Amino acid sequence: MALEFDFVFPLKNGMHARPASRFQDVANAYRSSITFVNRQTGVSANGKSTLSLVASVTHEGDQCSLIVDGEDEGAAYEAMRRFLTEEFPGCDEDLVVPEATPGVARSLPRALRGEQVRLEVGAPASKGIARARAVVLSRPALEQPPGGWAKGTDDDEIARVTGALRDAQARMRAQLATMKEGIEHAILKAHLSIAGDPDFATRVEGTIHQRHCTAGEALIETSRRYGEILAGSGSIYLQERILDIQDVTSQLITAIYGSASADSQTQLAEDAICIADNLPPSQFIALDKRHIKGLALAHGGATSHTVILARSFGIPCVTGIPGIHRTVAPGEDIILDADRGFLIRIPSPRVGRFYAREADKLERMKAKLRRFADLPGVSADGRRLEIAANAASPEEVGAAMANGAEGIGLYRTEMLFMDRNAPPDEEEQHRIYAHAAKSAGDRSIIIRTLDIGGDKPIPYLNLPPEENPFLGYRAIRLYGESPQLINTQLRAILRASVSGNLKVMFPMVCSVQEVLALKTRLRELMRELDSEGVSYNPEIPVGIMLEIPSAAFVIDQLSRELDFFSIGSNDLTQYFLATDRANPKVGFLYSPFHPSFLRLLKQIIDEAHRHERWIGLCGEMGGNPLATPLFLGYGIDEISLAPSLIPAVKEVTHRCRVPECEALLASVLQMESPESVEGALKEFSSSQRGGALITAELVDLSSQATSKQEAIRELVDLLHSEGRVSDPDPVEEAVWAREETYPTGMGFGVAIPHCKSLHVTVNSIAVLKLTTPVPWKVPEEDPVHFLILIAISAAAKGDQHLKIIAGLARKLMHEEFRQQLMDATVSDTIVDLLEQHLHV
Amino acid sequence: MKLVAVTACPTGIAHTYMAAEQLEKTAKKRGHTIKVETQGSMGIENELSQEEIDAADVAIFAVGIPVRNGERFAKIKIVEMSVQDAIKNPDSVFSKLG
Repeated sequence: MALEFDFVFPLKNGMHARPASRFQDVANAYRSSITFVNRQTGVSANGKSTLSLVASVTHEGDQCSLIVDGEDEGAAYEAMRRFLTEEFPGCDEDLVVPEATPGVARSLPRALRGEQVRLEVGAPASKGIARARAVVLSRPALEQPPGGWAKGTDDDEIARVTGALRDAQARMRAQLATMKEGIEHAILKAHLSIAGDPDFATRVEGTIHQRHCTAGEALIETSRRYGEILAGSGSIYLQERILDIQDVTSQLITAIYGSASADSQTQLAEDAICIADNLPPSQFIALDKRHIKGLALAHGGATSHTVILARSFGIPCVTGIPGIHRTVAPGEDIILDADRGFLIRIPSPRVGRFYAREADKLERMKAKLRRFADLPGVSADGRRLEIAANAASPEEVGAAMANGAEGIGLYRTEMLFMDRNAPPDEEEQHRIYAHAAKSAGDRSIIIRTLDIGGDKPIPYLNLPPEENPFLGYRAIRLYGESPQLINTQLRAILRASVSGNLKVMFPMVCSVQEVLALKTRLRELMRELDSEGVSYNPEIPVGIMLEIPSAAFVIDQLSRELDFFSIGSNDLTQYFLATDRANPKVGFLYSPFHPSFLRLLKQIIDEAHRHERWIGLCGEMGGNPLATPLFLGYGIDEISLAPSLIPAVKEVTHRCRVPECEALLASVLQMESPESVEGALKEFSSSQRGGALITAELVDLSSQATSKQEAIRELVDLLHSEGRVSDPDPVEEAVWAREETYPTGMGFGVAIPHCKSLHVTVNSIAVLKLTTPVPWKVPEEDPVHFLILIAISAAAKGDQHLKIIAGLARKLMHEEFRQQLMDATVSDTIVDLLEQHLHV
Repeated sequence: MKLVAVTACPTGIAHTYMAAEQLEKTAKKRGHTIKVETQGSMGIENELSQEEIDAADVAIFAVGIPVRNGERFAKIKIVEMSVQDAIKNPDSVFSKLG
C-alpha cells in the first residue's frame, strides 16, 4: 500500500542539482521506491536519482507529489516528509564561489572607467597583454572519431559503461577525500552524483539495448537527451548543468577509448586566447606555442606548472577566473590583460583603442630592451656578471637562449615526473636532457636532480601526506628509499653529459655527509656505465642548491667536495626567516631584502669565493632589476632568472659601476628593515637613470586623444615608455586624484596635471599637444589642447614640484611664452623653452 | 600708486601664482609699484612687512580663502576679488582702485 504526500515546490531556482542531490541522499537511505511526481507537467522521476529529479524540470510553485512504496515505506515516508518540510526549502543556495585571490588582481585602468566593460577578474600569473579569439579547451566535442568506435556485443558494451562508471566513481571519491570544501569539491561532488546516478546508467544501458550501438555512442546520446530536457527548462541554472553532464560524459569516453579523441582540440589553427578550467602541463606543452597568445584559467595557482611554463614562454596568463571556461563562448573576441589580472570579453572600440596603444607601448619598451639581450652581462666598468635563465624543458632552453641567456642556471626536472602514472625511464630522460644540452650549444646547463615531496601529487611515489612538506620528506631525502628513481635520473644525466656542457646540482643539501653519499652514488653509476661501455663526461661538475641555512655555515667543508654552489633564494629566504610566503598571515615577513638575509648572502658569497668556488643564484630575487646592483656589489658569478626578464636585468648591469654598487651594498647591510632597503634600491635606480626633467622623448606634439581620460593616460604612458615611472596605473590614479580636488585647467587652453607618487622613479615633465581640444572640467569651459604633466617621485625631498608648477603658472601668464609653446613644431623647442624658463 | 597684494587659492598650487604674476604684470603696465605676497602650498612667500603695508595706498586681495595674518591690513583700504577675476580681468580690477 503506497503512501502519498502532496506539496508545493518551494525552491526559487527550481529543482537543480544541489537540492536534487540532497533529495537523493535522503531517499537512498531506504529500500522502498520513492517517486517524485510533478503534477503540473505529469513527469515522474526516480527519487533516488539526481539526474532524474533534475530532468523533471520543476519550478517554484509547481504542485508535486511524493509516492513511497515498499517494505520500509512507513519510515521512509516519515523521513521524506520531514525532509521536504524542514530541510528542503533551505537547499536552494548556489554553489559557493571562491573568493578571488586576495589583493592580486588590479582594477581597470582609470582611462577605461565609466565604459561598459565585460570584465572577468582573476589573478595575474604571467605578464603580458593579448587580443585574439577565444579557444575553449575544456569542452571536448562529444563526438565519435572519424573512423568510429569498434563495437562488441550489447553485453560487452554495457560492461564497458558499467566498468567506466565504477572506475570514475572510485577516482572521484578518492579525489574528494583529499580535497577541502569549496567550489572544486562541490563540482566534483556534482560530477560524482552524475557518475553514480541510477537514471543515467539505466538510460545508457537502455540506449545500447535499443540501438545496438557502442558504449561511446550511447553515452553521447544520453548526454544529448539530458541536454535537451534541461535546455528547455527555461532556467539558466539548469542549462549550466548540461556542461556538468557533458564533462562527465567526456571523462567516461576518455576512460573507455583513451584521449585520442580529445587531442584534436589542441591543434590551434590561428592565434588564440586559450581558455580552460585547468590545463595539465602535458596538454599545454602539446599546444602550438606560435598561436597561443594568452591563457585564461578557472583554476591553477601562480606556482602551478602550467603557469610556470606559460611564464617561461612569455605567454600572458591569468588564473583563478571563476567559471571562465563556461562563460566564454568559442570564437569570442577577447582581450587578456595579464598585467592587471583580468580578461575583457567583446571589447568596445574605446577599450580596443586603449589596449592597442598599450600593446604598442609595451612592444616599443621591449624593443628598446631587446638590444641588451645579446650583450654579455657586464657592468659599465667591466665586471662580469653572468645572466642565465631558469628552464624546465628543452624548448624553454631554446627560448631562453634567444632571449640572451648566457647559460641555464637552473634546469628543473620535476615536471617530467608529474601528471603520469610511472616515472620516465632512462631512455626518455636521456633524450630530453641531451636535447636540452644541445639546445644550449656551448653554454652550460645546471641540471637539478628531482626535487619533489609531499606537496606535489606523484601517484606512483605513494608519498604520505605531511604536516609540513617543506620541512619534510623531500628532494634528496627521498633518494635513499627510492634508489631506482635517482639512479635512473643520474645515469640519464651522465649519458647526456657528452652532448653539451652539463653540470649536476643536488637540491636540499644540509650537510657534507649528504654530499659524500651522493658522490659515492655518482661514482658507482659511473663505474656501471664504464662496464657497459657507455660514454659520459667523468669530469661533470657537481654542485648543490644552497637553500638550507645550515649549509651556509659549512661552505669550507662543502667546497672540498663540490665544484659550485647555486643559492636557491626563494627557499633560503623562507627557511632563514621561518616564514611561509604562501601564508597570508605571515607572508609580509617574507622579503629577500631583509637586511639579515642580505648579510647572509654576503657571508655565503664571500666564503665560497674564499674557497675559490663558483657561486650563482637562482630564485625570484635574481629577476628583480632593483637587486641587480647588489649582485654586482657582492661580486657573485651568476644570476639565473626567468628568460623574459633577462634584457631588463642586463640593461641595469650595463648602467652600473662596481664601486657605487659596493657602496650601496655596504649601506643597505646597515639598514634595519626590508622597506628601507627597498627604498634605498629604488633611489639608487632613480639616480642611475638620473638626467633631465624633460627630454624630447617626453613630448608628443600630435596626439589624437579624444578625451581628458585618454590625454592623461597618454602623458603617463610617455613617462612609462621612458622608464620614468615603474607602474603607470597608480601614477594615472594619482593624477586623477589631484584633478578631482580641483581641475588643473589654467585657461588659455592649457592644463597642468600633476602628481607626487611612489611609482615615479625619475622626476619628470611630459608635454602633450592635442590635434583636437578636449573638455577639461564640468560644466564645460575652456577646452584644453596643451597639457604639461609634472610627475614627482614621492621619495624626492622638498617641494621641487611645487616650485616648478608655481614657476610654470607664472610663465603661462605671459602671452609671448604661451605663444612660443603653442607654436613649437618640434619637441626640442619645447624642451629648450621649458629648461630655459623654469631653470629645471 | 603704491600697491600691496595677497593671492591665495584653495589648493594653492597654480592659481595663486598665476594671479600674482598677472597683478605684477598689469601694475607695471599701468605705472604702479606693487609687491604681491603669495599664500600657497609653499607657505607664505614674498611676505609683506607691516611697514610695506602701511606705506601702501591700497591692498588687493585676490583670494578664494581667508587671508592669513589679516590683522596686518587693519588700517588700509582693501579691494577684494576672486582669484579668477584677477587672472582673467586684471584691467577691471585696477580700474576699481580709483
